[in-house]
Amino acid sequence: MKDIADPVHGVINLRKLGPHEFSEAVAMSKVMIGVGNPWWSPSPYHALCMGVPFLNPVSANAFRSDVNLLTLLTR
Amino acid sequence: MTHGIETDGRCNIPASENSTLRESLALLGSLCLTICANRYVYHVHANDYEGFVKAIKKASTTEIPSFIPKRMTELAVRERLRILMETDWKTQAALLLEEMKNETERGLKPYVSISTAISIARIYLQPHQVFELWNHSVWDLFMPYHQPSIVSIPTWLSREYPYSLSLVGFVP
Repeated sequence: MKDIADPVHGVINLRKLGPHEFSEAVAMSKVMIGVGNPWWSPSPYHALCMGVPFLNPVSANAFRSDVNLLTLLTR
Repeated sequence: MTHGIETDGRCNIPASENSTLRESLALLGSLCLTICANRYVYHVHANDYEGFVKAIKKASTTEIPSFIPKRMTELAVRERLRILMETDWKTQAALLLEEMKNETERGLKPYVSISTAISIARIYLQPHQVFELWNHSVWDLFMPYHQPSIVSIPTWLSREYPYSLSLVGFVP
């Protein structure tokens, strides 16, 4: 994965966090942005429980009516 | 087709229609999210920078109020506890027992679940009798190959009936 950390402009990589530290980081956040991996992550629910809204990015493929959604989901 | 998915898995909502349903169907996970918290989940297309910024702005300005389901409040828990403590379980058990006896007399086989049996036994029998009953009937039913020992509690029992743990305290 490409490292996009840029501390000067406020993009900070927190590295791997334990469950407790992750919860704290989420609780301090304004919004959680999904990265699409894993597809079924508990994090959005976790965030919503802490009153943090979730931003769900949707791939362009999913909006095409000729794409089989079920095969897209199982991929 | 009201739910938006054809039998072959294709979405039948036109792509031009940028509805929440269409977005929800795009990913089943987001469908769950949409159902759980429709107002606080923002769906944004990939590579849509303006929408992304707009969504973040909206997300950071929309307040999420506190939400506790009614049955999860402290008051509800108290009420449940009150019902548990103030209900006359003995009378109910007597009624149930009477009903079972009548059914048996009429030649029917009354259904007795393990939890019912244990509850009735706990009310009517002495602790050591309960232990023996449990030892002989339940254990034989489910773990015929095990030698019952007093110190070990079968995990399935302790998991499903945490109260039965107290039975083990009384050793005949």
